[in-house]
Amino acid sequence: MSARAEILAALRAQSLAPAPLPALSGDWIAYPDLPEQFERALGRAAGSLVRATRAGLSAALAALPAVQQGQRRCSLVPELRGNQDPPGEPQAFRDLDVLIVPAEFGVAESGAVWLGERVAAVRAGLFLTQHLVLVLARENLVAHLHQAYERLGASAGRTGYGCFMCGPSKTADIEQALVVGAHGPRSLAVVLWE
Amino acid sequence: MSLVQLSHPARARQFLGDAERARFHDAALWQIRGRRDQRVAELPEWEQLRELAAQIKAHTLAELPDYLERFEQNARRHGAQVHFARDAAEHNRIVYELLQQRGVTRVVKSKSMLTEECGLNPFLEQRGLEVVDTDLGELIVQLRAEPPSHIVMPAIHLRTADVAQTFASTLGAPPLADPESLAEFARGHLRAKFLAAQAGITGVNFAIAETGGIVVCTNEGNADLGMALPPLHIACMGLEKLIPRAADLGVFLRLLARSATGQAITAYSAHVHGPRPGGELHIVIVDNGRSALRAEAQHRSALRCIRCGACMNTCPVFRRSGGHSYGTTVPGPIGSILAPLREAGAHDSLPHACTLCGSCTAVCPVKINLHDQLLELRHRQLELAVRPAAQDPRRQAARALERTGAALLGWVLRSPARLARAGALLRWLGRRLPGLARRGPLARWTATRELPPLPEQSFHRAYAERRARDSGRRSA
Repeated sequence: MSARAEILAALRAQSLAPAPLPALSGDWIAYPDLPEQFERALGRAAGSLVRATRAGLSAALAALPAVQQGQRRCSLVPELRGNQDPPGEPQAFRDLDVLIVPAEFGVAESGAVWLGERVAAVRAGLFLTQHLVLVLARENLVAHLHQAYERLGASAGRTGYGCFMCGPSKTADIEQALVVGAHGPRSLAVVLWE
Repeated sequence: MSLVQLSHPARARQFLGDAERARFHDAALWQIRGRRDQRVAELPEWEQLRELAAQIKAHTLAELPDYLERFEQNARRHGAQVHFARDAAEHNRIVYELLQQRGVTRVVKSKSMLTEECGLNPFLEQRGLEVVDTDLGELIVQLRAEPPSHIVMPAIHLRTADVAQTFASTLGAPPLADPESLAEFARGHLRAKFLAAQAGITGVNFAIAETGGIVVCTNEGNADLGMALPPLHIACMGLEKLIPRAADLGVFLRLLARSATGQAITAYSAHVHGPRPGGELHIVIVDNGRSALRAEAQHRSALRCIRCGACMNTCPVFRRSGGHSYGTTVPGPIGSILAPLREAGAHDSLPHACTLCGSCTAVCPVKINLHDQLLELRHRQLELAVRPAAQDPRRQAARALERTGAALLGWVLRSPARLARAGALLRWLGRRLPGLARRGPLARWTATRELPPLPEQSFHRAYAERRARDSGRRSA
């Protein structure tokens, strides 16, 4: 008998009392000011928030320290062009200084943003770039993860790769001292426009 | 994996030999517990989330075979290949064959307690593969040839100087004095490994039956690099990792990082449906004793565990004895349940590494009644160890002693004069006994306990003297 058949048979031979699957409802927290909560949570995760208007988005992106200092820039947003095209091989993102990508929506509770289908072409770059910039529309902020998954709906299973990303890469594995920039980006800025 | 079978107290004594280090360990974990409390207090719905998580996991466990099949079917739809392994040996063989068939010699691995449980690293290394643990804490303990001492913070038992010494002696690092420069050195070392890797092995935090996807949570981004760069991704999971719906993650991801490290969410919560373009994804689902645990009515809730480590951070015994004192892959309260049930007789001291304070149960995000289960395991040991009195001369002797003692006590209590003399005798003995008992056969009980100082005189005498004093004062 195959391992699969044997394991399933062993599990089916056990009789467990039925336990209902609960509906996902609760008295979830509500935030009076979503951008403010988002900024607070993102700051706690060592990320930074820059607010911009629709018209001022290009200028706000150009003024970011990571963009100003970064030699090799790759961008998926029309408001600020990069000077590198997304490479074909994932390893080729190794020399990238800044990557600028659109975020689909943000979660105020935790400061996380969802990166989905739109970043598929630069997936490895999200982690190999030295600095990461995420562009997010104010209207795409949700309060908490329950709303986030409601919004993702069936697309949660359609995207090959999707990620809730919250601040830059970090570690506290040595004496619990927080070090930002473990393997991935050393900084993460969210530009929130409305 | 067989570890040296010393008892928990013996290994804890080794850990406590370095008092400064033990104090640091205790304080570091208590600080994390404090951060957890802050994050939890921000959510008025915390208890609702715990209740939902417990119900979702209980439901999934009840219908586990159906959910396993649904997950398998949906994962295949996305182009993943799904393998089943009965035990650690089968798991290791499956992973090795996948690597060998593709000529892989360089593997990067992100944290997976399952592969630790299965002993995958030594298995692959013995067959000539380079396996690099890429979580910083895991890398440190791998370089030191030690097991992780904590499931979330594998190197929490070490100090900065230990890490500096490890990097210098194994990787030829220059002298580095602070966590920042050590982490920066590891970043450079590991980046080269990521770029050269031919395969990435990851664990799985959650497997979604309805979509066939897996979710992997890290703070460093090491799992994401291991999944995005090499063409081959092997994800290893215990069969208890399943959840029914993607929306259930709304509950679990809100609980996981808050409980683990006091973060609202980890830096990266990757949702993977199928291989990266041009690559392969293999998911290995492992039993290794889990189906047997599911048959244990009193203990199956241990399969709800999402490996956050909160029970370890809060445990007064874990904080003061260190993860290595448990001698198991998963230490702490949850490990003290899982290990004795998996390997009967091999970890008898672990259910006793517990004060029954219940703090673990209070913080567990999936509401496992950890301390109740530890107590039940003690009962189980006793039932196995103790023969019926009729067949056991030692128990008959104990009974006789008990009867004699009770008779003696009755005789003393029947006479106030005898009681007074017996009290005086006990007070005299009480000043000499603790020293004696620490050396004798009672030492196992008394070695770490202090008897409070006994009063010089009986209550009767003290009361009489006080009354005499008071009436003397009134008449004066």
